Amino acid sequence: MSKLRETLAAGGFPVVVELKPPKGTGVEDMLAPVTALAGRVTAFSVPDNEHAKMRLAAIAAARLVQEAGGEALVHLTCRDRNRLALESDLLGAAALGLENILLVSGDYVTLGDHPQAKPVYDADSVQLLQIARGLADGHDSAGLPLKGSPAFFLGAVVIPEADPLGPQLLKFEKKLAAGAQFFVTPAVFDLDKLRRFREQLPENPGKLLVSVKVLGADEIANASAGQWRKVYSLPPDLVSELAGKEPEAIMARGVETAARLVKQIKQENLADGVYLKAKGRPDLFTQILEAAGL
Amino acid sequence: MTNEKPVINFTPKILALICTYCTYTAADMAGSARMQYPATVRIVKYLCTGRIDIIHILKAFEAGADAVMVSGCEAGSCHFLEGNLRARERVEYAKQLLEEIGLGGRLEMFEVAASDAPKWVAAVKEMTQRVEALGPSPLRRGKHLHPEVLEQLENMVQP
Amino acid sequence: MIIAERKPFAEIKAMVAPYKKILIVGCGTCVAVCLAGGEKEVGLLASQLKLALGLEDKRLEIGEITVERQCDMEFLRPLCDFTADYEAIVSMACGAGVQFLKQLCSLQPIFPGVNTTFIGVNNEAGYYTERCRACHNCYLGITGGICPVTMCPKGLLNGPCGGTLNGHCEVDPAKECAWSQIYHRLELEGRLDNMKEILPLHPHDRCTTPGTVIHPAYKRRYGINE
Repeated sequence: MSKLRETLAAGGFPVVVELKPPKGTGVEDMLAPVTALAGRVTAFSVPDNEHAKMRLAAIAAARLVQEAGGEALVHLTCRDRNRLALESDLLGAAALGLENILLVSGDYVTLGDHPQAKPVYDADSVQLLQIARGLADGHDSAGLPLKGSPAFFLGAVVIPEADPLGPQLLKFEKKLAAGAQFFVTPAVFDLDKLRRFREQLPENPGKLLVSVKVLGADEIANASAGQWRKVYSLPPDLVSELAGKEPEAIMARGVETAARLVKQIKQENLADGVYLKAKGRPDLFTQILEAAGL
Repeated sequence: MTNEKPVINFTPKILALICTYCTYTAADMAGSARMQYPATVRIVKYLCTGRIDIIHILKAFEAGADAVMVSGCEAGSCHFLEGNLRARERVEYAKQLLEEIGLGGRLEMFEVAASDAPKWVAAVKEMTQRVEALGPSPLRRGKHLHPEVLEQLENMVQP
Repeated sequence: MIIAERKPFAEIKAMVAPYKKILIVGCGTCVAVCLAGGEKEVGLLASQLKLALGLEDKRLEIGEITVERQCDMEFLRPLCDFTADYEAIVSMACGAGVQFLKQLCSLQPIFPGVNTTFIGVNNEAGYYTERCRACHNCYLGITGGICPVTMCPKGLLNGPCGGTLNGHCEVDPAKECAWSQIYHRLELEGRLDNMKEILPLHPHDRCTTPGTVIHPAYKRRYGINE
């Protein structure tokens, strides 16, 4: 059973950190957090061509994470594969010892660095959860029996600040019904909004991992120029405080904010665990965990 | 010398597609008032610029025109309410079609109210200067506008 | 109807460059409505070609004809004798019409004058939007009349995705999120339960190209035995 699943089941407070697969074959930087933090971090998350930007395959990267001594949480998007490839990759992931899978729709092709590529989306994230659970139950999406079925710990994404919220909540329930066992949110900065969101969730909402992110200089620049286009909002005073500062100063303040949020989330039981995003930098992750006392 | 005027050794031949109610009236008035302006314009009279089809403009260039000016009522004063607005869109598209083939810069639309003879005169002078700067149409073989094609154009306007 | 856009002039000019006598065939249905390939557009293209080639001191003999539509043999057949006189044909019809017309002229090369874009509607003159992707399994009854395959760029059957921003789409912020719209429609109609059901995977085998439809009444005529 995966450490992530066990920790969540036992009511522990798992920490997941997000890695950055390279655009190329040089994996040292990507794996640096694993060697630095394998003892402190429950799982290392590996995105799949994040933001539709071509990167080294998530499953391959996840296997390398396991070989480097960490547990992986591998993402699988609907954007780049049809159902044959999705099922095939899921079986491959299982055969390589991967258990934690995050199933997502995936940002649209034109937003990334291969804008002329053909978008697939043969399955959406709900259907993909059904497919993955079906594989775990011993059959593929055509109903054919498997010779050896995988064990998965399946996750999906939920957007607390979705506007309108109604459709997002309906989709949340569909994902639960389809087999999602845990959910990850995008970056959260406002814990009141998080609290209000949690009140809207159904009775048994599965486990919730809240993302905490260290913002970079370009993100602050975007926000202060009024160009912020993300599904999570930034506190205006944070933006005005950081606008125009040096990148390392922004990072440092970001680490402080992140650590404070992590501490608060844990203390007030606002989530079952935390998912850290800090540009894949082991030094930043370490600083956050130190400051948060984890 | 600082302000050298280009040496002009051709007479620009400009086809003006104008509406009866506004521009033609102004042009008529300019004539009665003996206002002086270059004799470079050959007028094709439309009831309304809204009747202008893009093919008319292209035919004008096929006939050998150095430039085409379209002139109608001011926005909001069209006798037929929207004709001049439609003409505006068609002239915009015609400009693109002409750019595509390498005949850009030789088409323009003007708005001349019925009482505004001086504006008509200014428009003709502007187009004339533009043609003098651009040179004659590369399609003009010889001095005259192609009569057959001109007749075709006039038949399209009023068969 | 099918919406198309006229190809850039430079492309068409290059296509007909090797020839001295061409025929431009227009289509009077869809492409005429969207102002890309009807009788008027045939005239404009012919004029543009004459002017452009005139600038290079070349001559091109251009025939112009427009038929009701090029996707129906009954309107194409009369062109049979006509086309033989020309070295090449430029068809202003959508991709279907171009291919159908080609069946009539085995010897002359045929060139498309437009890029076919989508099945859509005529909102207003000059303004056309896509509405249908011919997915062969229409969901409109379930989604309150908004097509999830077409109006959602990802074609999600269980939307929305996590990219909705203030009810707008991450792909084109000027466009509303189709699934937000579906939600509101179903809410108005009192049929929000439709969105609680998980829609199954789409049967793409129905859309295997090239598709064929034989009307049930004609199955005997065309020898399709059940």
